Amino acid sequence: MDAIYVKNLTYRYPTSEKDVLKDVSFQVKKGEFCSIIGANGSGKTTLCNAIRGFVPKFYKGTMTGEVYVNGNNIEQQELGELACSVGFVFQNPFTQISGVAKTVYEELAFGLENMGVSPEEIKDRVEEVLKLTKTEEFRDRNPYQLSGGQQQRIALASILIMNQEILVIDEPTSQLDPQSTDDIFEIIQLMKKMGRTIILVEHKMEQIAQYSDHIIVLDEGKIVLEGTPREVLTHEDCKKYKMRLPQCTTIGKQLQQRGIKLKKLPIILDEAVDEIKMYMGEGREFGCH
Amino acid sequence: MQEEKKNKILDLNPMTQITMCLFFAISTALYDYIYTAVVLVILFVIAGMAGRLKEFVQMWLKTIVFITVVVFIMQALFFPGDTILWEFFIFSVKQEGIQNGIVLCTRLLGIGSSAVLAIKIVDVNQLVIALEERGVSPSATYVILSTVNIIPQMSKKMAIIMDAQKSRGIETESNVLVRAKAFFPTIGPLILNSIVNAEERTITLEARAFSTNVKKTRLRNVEDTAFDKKVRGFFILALLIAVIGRVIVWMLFM
Repeated sequence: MDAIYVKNLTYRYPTSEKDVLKDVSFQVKKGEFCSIIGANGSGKTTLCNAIRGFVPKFYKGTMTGEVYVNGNNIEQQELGELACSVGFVFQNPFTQISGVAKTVYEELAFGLENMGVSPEEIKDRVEEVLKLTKTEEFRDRNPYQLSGGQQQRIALASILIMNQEILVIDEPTSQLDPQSTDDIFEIIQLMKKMGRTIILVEHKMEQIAQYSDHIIVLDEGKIVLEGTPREVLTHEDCKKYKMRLPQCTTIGKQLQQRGIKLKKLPIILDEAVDEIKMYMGEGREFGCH
Repeated sequence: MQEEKKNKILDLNPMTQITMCLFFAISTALYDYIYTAVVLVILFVIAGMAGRLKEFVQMWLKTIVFITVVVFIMQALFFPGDTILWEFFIFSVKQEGIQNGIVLCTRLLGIGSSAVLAIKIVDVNQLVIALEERGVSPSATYVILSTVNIIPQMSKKMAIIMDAQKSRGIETESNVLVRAKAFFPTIGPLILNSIVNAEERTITLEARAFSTNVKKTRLRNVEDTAFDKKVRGFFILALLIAVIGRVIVWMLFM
């Protein structure tokens, strides 16, 4: 059974004049890491909201088509129920602090308290997640006094702790510096290792190429490309949709244009290193003078 | 995590603390200034026992005393009356004004000081838990708690907006008139910003399963000891006696 199954989804916000999503259909398998990419305004966030049920329940508007999460049509579920099966993290770290917790410890506990988990179990799980996400140093700090990157880590940790099978993560690093971005991806990888199904919206192509199992490219509300990172990033239509490719892929393409034969077009750094090693002859030192 | 220090006043159940402050507030409104003076002394002693005397006095001077003085002056100068005690330029102090001022200010002092004490000794986090245990809905308690936590956030944001507007050439530091002019360009973005944030915060709460129908648990619970019940009982009884006493006095003088 697919973790997420979207069928002919078309949606329009109450205030918009045309459809934001147009006949979108795709499946995401259980445990899969699926990235959604596309230009601003292509409907990525709306698609995330649809998987979490905020579209159309929270934002209203008109929707046709169906969204199934773990085989259940989400239209028949209440928003509150969905919270226990789909985790949701979004862009702005500053509004993802619940506002009721005095410390990071309480912030992490908040979701579990709402789910009615017993206090003993909450304590165990908070300790575990603090350790896993390496946020122990913040445990007694006020979440409002943390930096944006730290807050975003807390936001991810607060969702991770709730143990939902599916996690929808919408541009978690768009307001963060490179170091915080790496920290966030470390947590996302951790989530994948724990067997969670992940839907990630991101612009950082290097990370997408490295971590995704499955990429969906949206353009003006339609899915235009879909497949494994290799299938998508080496597809000739990438240019047509103005996708920015990972740096090593760009380098590879330019090398190919100059007549240098590559075994395969690199999409992640390791592959690029292999190509260069091959080209320069195995065993030779890199930094020749 | 929690402070382990024992404190007779701070360790009371928040409902007990509020009952106590309510008793002082209501009873001072019923009796005259001598009683209020006594209550004020008691309030100071309680604040001292709680170890919060300094904070209490600071806030009390800045708010209640300031308002009381202003109200008293206004009453003395502008309350209509015939017995003029003292005249200066177009102003005149009248006896009726002073009498009325004393009554009004006694009430203000009594109620206001009790409220300040409540603010200083009640821990909002504890209060919210106590309220929830008494069946208040989590949505209502969320509003209380988040308001308290968000006010410092708002003032931080206000400072950012002020800086942003300054960089666009809006004067904010000068005389009263200039400051008044800068009011709308700063308060406008603050309000709009808060509205936008409210939407995202709703989503945050949804993401944290706030609206599930499951009965919520709490990591901490607030103790309601036998001592608390006794103290509460005492103050409720005292309040009843105070009200009845006042009514009897009225009846006798009618």
